[in-house]
Amino acid sequence: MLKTVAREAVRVLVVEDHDDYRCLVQRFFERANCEVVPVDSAESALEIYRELDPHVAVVDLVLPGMNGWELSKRLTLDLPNCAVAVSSSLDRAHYPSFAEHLPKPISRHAVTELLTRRVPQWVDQWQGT
Amino acid sequence: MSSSASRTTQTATRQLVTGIDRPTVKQLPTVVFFVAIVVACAVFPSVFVRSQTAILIATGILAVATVFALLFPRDGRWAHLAYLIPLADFLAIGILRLGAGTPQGSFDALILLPLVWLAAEYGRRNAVMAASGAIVAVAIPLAFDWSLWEQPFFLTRSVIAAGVFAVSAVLVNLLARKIYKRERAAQRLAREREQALDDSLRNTAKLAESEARLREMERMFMGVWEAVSEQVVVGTDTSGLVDAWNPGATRLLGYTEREALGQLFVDQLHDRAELENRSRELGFPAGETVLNPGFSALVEQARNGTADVRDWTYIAFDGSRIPVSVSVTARVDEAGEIIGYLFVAGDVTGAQEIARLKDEFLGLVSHELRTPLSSILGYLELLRDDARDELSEEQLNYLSVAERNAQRLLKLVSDLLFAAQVDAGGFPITLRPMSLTEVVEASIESAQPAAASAGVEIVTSIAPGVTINGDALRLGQACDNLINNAIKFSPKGGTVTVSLSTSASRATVDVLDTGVGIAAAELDKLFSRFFRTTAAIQNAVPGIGLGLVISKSIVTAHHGDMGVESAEGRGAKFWFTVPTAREAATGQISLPRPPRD
Repeated sequence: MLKTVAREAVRVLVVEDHDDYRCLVQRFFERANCEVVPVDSAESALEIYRELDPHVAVVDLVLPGMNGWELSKRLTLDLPNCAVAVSSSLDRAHYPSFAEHLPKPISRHAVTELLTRRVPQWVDQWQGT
Repeated sequence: MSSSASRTTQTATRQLVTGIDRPTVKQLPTVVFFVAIVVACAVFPSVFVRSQTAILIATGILAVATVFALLFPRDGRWAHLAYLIPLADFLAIGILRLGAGTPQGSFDALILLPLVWLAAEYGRRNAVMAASGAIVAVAIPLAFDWSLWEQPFFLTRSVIAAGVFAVSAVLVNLLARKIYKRERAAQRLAREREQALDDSLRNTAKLAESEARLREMERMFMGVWEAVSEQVVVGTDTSGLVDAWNPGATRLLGYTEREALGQLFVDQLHDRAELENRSRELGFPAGETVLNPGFSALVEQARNGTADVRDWTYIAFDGSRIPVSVSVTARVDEAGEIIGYLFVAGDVTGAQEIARLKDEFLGLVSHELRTPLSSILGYLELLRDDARDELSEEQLNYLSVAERNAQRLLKLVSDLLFAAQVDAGGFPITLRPMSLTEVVEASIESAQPAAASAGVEIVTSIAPGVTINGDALRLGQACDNLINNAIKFSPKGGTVTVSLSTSASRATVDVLDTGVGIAAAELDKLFSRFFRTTAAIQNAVPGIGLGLVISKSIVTAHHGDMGVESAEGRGAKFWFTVPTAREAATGQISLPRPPRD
C-alpha cells in the first residue's frame, strides 16, 4: 500500500554564529533530507521560531547577545515538540541538562542518531524511502 | 710593683705600724727630754754632772741619730734600718746616765721613750732589741763606773729597772702585735669590700649593657612586627587563644589588638564548615582540646611537626569572607615542648581572581580552538561522503591523513584544557552507577584499529558485571589513555594485556605492555605534566606528556589510585583501582586541591 500522506520535511533551526560551522551543520542536516533554516544569533532565532515551528533546533551555547543557555531554555518551554540540541565546543558539563547533545565536531552518525531518537517523522521518512 | 719592692713596703708597713711613720717625730720626745737634761746639767753642774766627757759623747751620739732620723728616707733599701735610731738612743741615754744624774736617780725614765718606739714595732725581734737596748742603757753606767757597784741601792734599782723595762718591752710588743693584727684584718675587710663593690659595679655595667642590647632587639622586633601590615600573623597558646596579633591582622580582619589578645580564639576566625570538613578528612583528630575539634583539625599537622599550608576562608569582624592561604607552625620552648601555634595568613583574593580569569581564558581559548577544528573535521567528512566514488584511493588516503591529524589536534586541545582545569583545582565529573566492565570493553574495542595497524595484539581478561559509581566518559578517557600508551610503546608483534578484576571493595584495571619498559629514575616523574620518557623521545613516539596526568586526576577524583610497575627492557604495567562499594553520589564534585609544593 502506498503512503498517501504528504510527507512534511523535517524542519531544523540552526543557531550558530560561526559561519563555516553553521554551513556545515546545515549541510549535514540537508544530507539527511531536512529543511534547514540557519540563523547567526539568538535574536534572529527568536524572531522566527514560532512561525517556523521546527522539529529540531541546534543551538550553539556561546552566541553574541543572548547566549545559548537562555535560548535553549526558551525554545524548550515554548516548543514542547521540538528537540532542542546543544552544539558547543564547551565541555559537556556546561550543557544544560534538559537539552540534547550535539557536540562539535558534528558527524553524520550523531545527526542520524539524534533524528532517529527524537523525530519520529524523520524515521518514518527514512524508512519510507 | 715588683715583688721585692712590695715586700719592702710591707715590711716597712709592719715596722711602722704605730701610724707615725716619720722617725723624726718619734725621735722628738727623746731629743726634747735629752736636751732638757743636758740643760739642767749645764745649769746645775755640781748637782748633776759626773762626767762631762760622757755627756758630750752621749750628746754626740744622739745628734748623729737625730740627723739620721731627719734625713731618713721613707722607703727604699735603708728603710728597714730605722731601728738603728732607737738603738742609738739607748746608747746615748746609757752614756748620759753615766755622766749625769744623782746617786738617787739617773734619768731611768728616759729609756722608756726609745723602748716604746722599738717594742711597738711589729716583730718579736723588736721586743728583744728593745729589751736589750734598755738593759744596755741601764748597764752602761755600771760598766764604766765601778764605784756605782758599791752603792747597793743603785744596783738594786738598776736590776729592777732593767727587769721592768724588759718586761715592758715584751708587753708593748704583744699589745702592738694585737693592734697590728686587728688593723690588718680591717684593711683586708676594706679591701674585700672594695673588691665586692668593684664587682658589683662591673656586674651592673654588664647588666645595663645586656638590658640595652635587649631593648635594642625588642625595638627591632617590634619594628618588624609593626611593619608587617599586609599579612596576618597571629600567635596562640595551645588552646588557640590569641596571644599575639599583628597590625596586618587588624587591617585584614578588623579586630583590634585589644579585642583579640586573650579573648579571641583563632578558630573563631574560620568558616565552621571548612573546619568540620578538614576534621572529617583527618579522621576527627582528638588533639588536645576535646571541646574544640575545629581547632584540633587546624593544627593537627603542625602538632606532628610538619608546617601546614592550605587555603581557608576567614570571617572578618564585620562578617565579610576573605579567602586566605594560612601556614600553621608549632611554637616550641627550649625543651622542645609545644607551647602554642603561629598562624601566618595572606589574602589570596587576588590570586583567586587570577585563577578565575585564567579559567575563563582557558574556556574561551578552547572554544576558539575547537570550533575551527570542528569545521575542518566536519567538512572533511562531508568531502569523504560526497566524493567517495569520485576520489582516487590516494586522494581518499590524503583525506584520512587530514582527518586523523585534525582529530589529534582536537584531542590535544581537550587534554590541555583538562590539564589546566586540574591545575586550577577542579574539573567537573558526575558520579553515578555505571558498568566498569562495559567501559573497559568499549575502550578496548575502540583501540583495536590502532592496535591492528601497529601490529600489536590485545589480550583481555575482563571480569563481568563490575559496577561502580563513576563517570563513564572520564573513566573511558583514562582507559583509552592507558591502552593507547601501551599500544604506542609495544613493538610490532608485541602484546597488550588488559584485565579488570575485583577484590573486596575495589576494582582494578591492569594494562601490560611488552615494550622497552621505563627506567627506575623516571618512574617518579611519569605522572607529572608534559613529562616524556627518554624512550618516548628517542623513539619519536607521538604525544605531549599529558595522558597520564589526566588519567591519574580522573582516577583520583573517583577516590581511586593509579600506579606503575616497570623495569627497563621488561615492559610496563599500569594499573588503577577504584572503590566499588560506595553510597550513590551524583552531582558535581571537584578535585581536592593539590597540596602546595
